[in-house]
Amino acid sequence: MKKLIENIGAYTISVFTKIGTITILIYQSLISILKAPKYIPQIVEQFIYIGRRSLVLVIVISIFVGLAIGIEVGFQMTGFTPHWMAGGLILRTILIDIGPLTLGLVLSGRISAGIASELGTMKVTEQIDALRSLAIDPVEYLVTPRLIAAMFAVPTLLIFSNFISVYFGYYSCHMTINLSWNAFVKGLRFSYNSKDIIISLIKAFTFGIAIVISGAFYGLNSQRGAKGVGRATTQAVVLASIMVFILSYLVSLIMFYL
Amino acid sequence: MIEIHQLYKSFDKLDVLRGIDLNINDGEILSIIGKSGVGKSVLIKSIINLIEPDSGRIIIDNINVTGFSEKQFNKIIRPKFSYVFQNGALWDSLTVSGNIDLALQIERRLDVKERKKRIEESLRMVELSDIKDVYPDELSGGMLKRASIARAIATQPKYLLYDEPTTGLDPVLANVINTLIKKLNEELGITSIIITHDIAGATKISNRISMLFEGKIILTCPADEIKNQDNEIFNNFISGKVILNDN
Repeated sequence: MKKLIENIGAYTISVFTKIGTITILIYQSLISILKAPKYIPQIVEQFIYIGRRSLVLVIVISIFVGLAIGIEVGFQMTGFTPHWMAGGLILRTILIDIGPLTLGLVLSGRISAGIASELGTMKVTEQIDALRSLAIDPVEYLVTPRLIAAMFAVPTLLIFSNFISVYFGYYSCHMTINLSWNAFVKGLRFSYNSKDIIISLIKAFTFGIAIVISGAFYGLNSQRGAKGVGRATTQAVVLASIMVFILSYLVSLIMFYL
Repeated sequence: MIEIHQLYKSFDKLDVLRGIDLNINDGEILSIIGKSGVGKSVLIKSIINLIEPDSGRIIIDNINVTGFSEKQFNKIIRPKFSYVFQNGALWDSLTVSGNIDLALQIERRLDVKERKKRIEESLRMVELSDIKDVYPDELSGGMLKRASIARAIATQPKYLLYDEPTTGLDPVLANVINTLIKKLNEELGITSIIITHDIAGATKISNRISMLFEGKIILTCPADEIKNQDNEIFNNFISGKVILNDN
């Protein structure tokens, strides 16, 4: 019994320690944004890196997300529902929820894992200590440029992804319920709400922050050896994925009800 | 001058440093010897707070740095130091010159011309002028150490901390590195603290040698007097005999 209480206590302390460390990391990274002009080359490099590393994957996934949603929406259009409403349903489903969520999860695996393994390797090979020994703040130099890059790269990828998914949603409906382009556009115009785009972009922006912070946190706190780096990478992906769902819920809640 | 008083550091339940007292004089080369895992690296990392000590005082150039924040270390202390890591710790995404340039560029805000000059000078000092555009993973062990030293001296430090600079090198390369350390000390006046297992090398280039044992400095003596010491543990260690009363 005593052992159980001790374990629960130790676990609780470790959870709060982790939350505290992540909060400090977020604070340090955001404060360091003020010094961003010093790191413009690194920010541009990271922006290109995130984009290039994820683009093909995003295209492929967006196509199939669009196709799948098109089929499902098309299936709902049987009966008395006018077919032209499919455009609006596809647009709103992709913009508000499925688009950002799918992208967030894909980038959690792609970007967060990449950051965790890179920083983790730097940690275990003393490259982080080498930065510190030369009075270079590792958070400022390694995390902030990635954070700023992700804040812009993830929404950019999302815009791109949404266009692809919506188009392939139309294509899917066209193939299944013979929806015409004009009817699809009519549905889009009927349901279009600029707030949906704002929600979509806010989600992408916050996902970008969560993905980088998760990767950076586990990378910078990686334990010794290849096993430690591997573990950090897995944990980063798990945390980033959970954060994507939580943030998706919170942004929707705030934007629709508060 | 660096003064260390009653420095303690533990990891979980393992007491690594148990009251270190040590002074390092300006302009000297001090070698710290001792068994593997005894805490030598922890000691020199503590000096610039790469590892935060649990207690004790460190005074650097009459400034008591105890309790200094990371920001204060970055602003006041670390610009005086450079650290040569055991495995080089060069940033592998940058070339050799990129490594040196980064050290100069971020905090020291030197212009391009000055940085270029410093890169060339430091590479010339370590005789690596022809590999400035090579990436660290293409370098041999000896080149990696020298490139790491080049990065360290480019910032023109007052103090240079070496973590096993000759470990893993053949005797010829080890001699090259030792000669280089001596040369930097004599030509640039850099105070050097060396963690090493290379007793012969340490004797050759150091002014003084200290031995760390069971978390304490048990002996410090002039390098040319190491054979005249009456400390059994020290004598056993330098002659390669087993030290029985270690934990």
